[in-house]
Amino acid sequence: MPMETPATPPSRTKDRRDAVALWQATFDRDAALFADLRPGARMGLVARSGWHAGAGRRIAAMRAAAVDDSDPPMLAFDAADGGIRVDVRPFGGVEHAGVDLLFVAEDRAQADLEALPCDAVLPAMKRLLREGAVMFFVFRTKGELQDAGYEDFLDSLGLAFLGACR
Amino acid sequence: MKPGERKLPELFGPGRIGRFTTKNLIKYGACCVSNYNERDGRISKRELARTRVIAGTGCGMITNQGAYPDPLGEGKAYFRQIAIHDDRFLPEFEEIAGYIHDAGAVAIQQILHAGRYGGIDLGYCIQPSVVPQTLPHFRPPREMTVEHIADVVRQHADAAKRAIRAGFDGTEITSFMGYLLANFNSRFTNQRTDAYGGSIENRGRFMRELIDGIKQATPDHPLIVRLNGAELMDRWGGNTEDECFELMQQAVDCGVDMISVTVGWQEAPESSIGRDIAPGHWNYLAARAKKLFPDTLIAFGNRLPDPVMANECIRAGEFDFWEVCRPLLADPDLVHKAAEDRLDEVRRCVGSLNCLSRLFRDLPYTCTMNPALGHEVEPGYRITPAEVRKKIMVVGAGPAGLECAITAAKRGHEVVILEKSGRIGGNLVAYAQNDLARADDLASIVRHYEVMTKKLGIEVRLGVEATPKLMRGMLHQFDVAVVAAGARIDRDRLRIVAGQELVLDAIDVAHGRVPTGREVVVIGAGKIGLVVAESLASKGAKVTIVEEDKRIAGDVMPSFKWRHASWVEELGIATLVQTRVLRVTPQGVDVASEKGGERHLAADTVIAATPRLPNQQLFHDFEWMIDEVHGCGDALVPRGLDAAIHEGFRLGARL
Repeated sequence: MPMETPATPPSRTKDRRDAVALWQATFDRDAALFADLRPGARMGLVARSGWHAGAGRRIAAMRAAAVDDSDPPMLAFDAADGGIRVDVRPFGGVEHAGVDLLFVAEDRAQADLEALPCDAVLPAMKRLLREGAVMFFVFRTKGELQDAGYEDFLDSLGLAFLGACR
Repeated sequence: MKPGERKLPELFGPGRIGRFTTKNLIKYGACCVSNYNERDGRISKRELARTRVIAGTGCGMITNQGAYPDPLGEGKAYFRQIAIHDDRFLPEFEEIAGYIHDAGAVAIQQILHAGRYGGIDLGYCIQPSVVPQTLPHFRPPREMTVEHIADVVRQHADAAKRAIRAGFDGTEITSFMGYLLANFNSRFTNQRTDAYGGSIENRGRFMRELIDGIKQATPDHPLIVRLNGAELMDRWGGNTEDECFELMQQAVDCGVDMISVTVGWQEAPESSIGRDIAPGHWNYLAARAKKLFPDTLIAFGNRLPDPVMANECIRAGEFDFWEVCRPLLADPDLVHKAAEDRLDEVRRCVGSLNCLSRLFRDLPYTCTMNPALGHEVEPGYRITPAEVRKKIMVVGAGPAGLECAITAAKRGHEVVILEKSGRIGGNLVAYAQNDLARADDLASIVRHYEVMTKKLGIEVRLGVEATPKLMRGMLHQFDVAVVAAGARIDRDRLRIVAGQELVLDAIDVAHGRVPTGREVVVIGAGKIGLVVAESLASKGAKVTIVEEDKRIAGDVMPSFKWRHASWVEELGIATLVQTRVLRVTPQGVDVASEKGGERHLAADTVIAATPRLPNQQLFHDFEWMIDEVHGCGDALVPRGLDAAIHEGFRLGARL
């Protein structure tokens, strides 16, 4: 499947600032969902066009040696001080993302999400996950995620926490 | 020829695979591992007893469950999966091959390297590329080197040789449902840039090497490959259906003896085998394979539980062998009943996915419909003639009471069922009436009990409520009373709520005993509340669910929670969790959120779907009136359908 590209090139700095503000407001609004998260827990969100999950160890290693600002941006959601702090970091491949969970959104889906008011973002995220427009990867085992306090959040998104042979 | 065989001549006609003939065109599919075995991969007594039953199912070809081929356990997907990487495991494989041959069937051993879903005892799994997991059940990935790939191919070939030495006639490798073979084939997990990745030709290289390796190691024995007709992963870069069929072409070109067409990956975002998929939905994939590869045997059975439908498909040339697993877990006598024209007695697989729900909890699999599955080795689960014939009264014709009644009757007891309503089935009837997934699956359980009560001569007294007064009039007529009176909504929980007399009972609503309006609030988001809410919303009502707990679907089977969550979303049902009801008025409901704040929910109907209480009064009432009083199902502890059926069976088997 060819990678999707955004319809218009983003004005990166402003867009990132807007996105950070939106996600920060979203997490602040639903802080109860993240109250159990251990400090240090981290999630990420990247656009599908910036995702190279399957690049493999060799490519990822090369990228790790040279992560720079030309890498696609990843919205990083860090648990700290009883809440979530939102930031932007370069995404240098899945092996070096340093996250527990990674959401990969089709570019259009991410743009749609970031056009919503903050009270509508998580419900929309849930719908987009179900529709397959947002994919979700885990970098920790079930037990580690439970210990880190993710269960409420994942459940709120309707994600099958224990596997889903359907 | 038996009468049913005459009716289903294609299915019961002989077949052939390689140099082996089969007595019919039914293949028992390995489908999933049982998790009954030893932690080191040795086959257990429990497994042997189960396999003996499987061997006796009457299938022409029987596939033994998947064994992992490598000593490290990188291919091991389940904690108690069987292993075939060493000769020390062979005695039990020999025994199983013997059971299958004694039953006149062709014996196939599946070799299952789980790849992305493997390494269950390790801290990692192996894959063609490092594509992270989407399900937290599985292990973080490591990329395979070319040398590692060669080792795995050799391990498969060695495993195949070992299986043949144990007496199996052929072997099978599998991509179902997202295992190592699938990981190489799929663009989703194979993003290598070497000879094993990139083009479809390269992605299929691992499969071709596996086939060549096994064929060279066991040249006189058939090899079956299970391949996806659809991965259901294509939106995220997986193979399209066209690519799946190109990969099948590669397998055909390598001389594989049979392709078993499968559907979906475990992590696919849509259903493939659940109750919400109509039987026959995926048949088009098998038909396409048969059309493309007319000279290669095609086996198929995903969400195809019915032998009559399978017979028609074979007649129409859609596939050659009906591959069936879960329906035979639900009823190991399915093929015999079909052959004897007793299909009305079949216990259908209802697609509850209890089996897979348990596997994802790392438990041995069991079956809602077959309480004996996995317990064949235990005498307590065998239906044996009763030493003393008793007259048994069963109070309640729900699943627990009915299961107990037919099990006891099979053992020779005289059984009478007292049911206060006008029909059998209990609340299962109401569940079926409101179920959005596939109501007929649930209704089939009731039909099964209707047939069996008649065939076993069980007297069913409808419209009779068991009371102490009634019992006083029947003293000394019965030896045993079984209280299977079910459970009721615990309305006492609402006692503190003002206006609670305006609240309807969810069970009454589900049975259609009371009318409902257009604006509904359901109190409680357990299974009953959800089913009622979904049903009303699907008929156009505006529904809100209020739940005190943090989450909805607390009592729903793990593999079905997502389905309810999805319906709630699709039907626009509002859910308020961590919220309690303060008061009910003719205008609606006032609620308070745990987070603070009160609000009014306008409603013309308020339904209580709060947790249930067991109906246990008869235990006390009957204690001094009859020799034995027992109970089963929700009358003991309110739970789900599987607990009701299993307890009813266990009690019936020991009375």
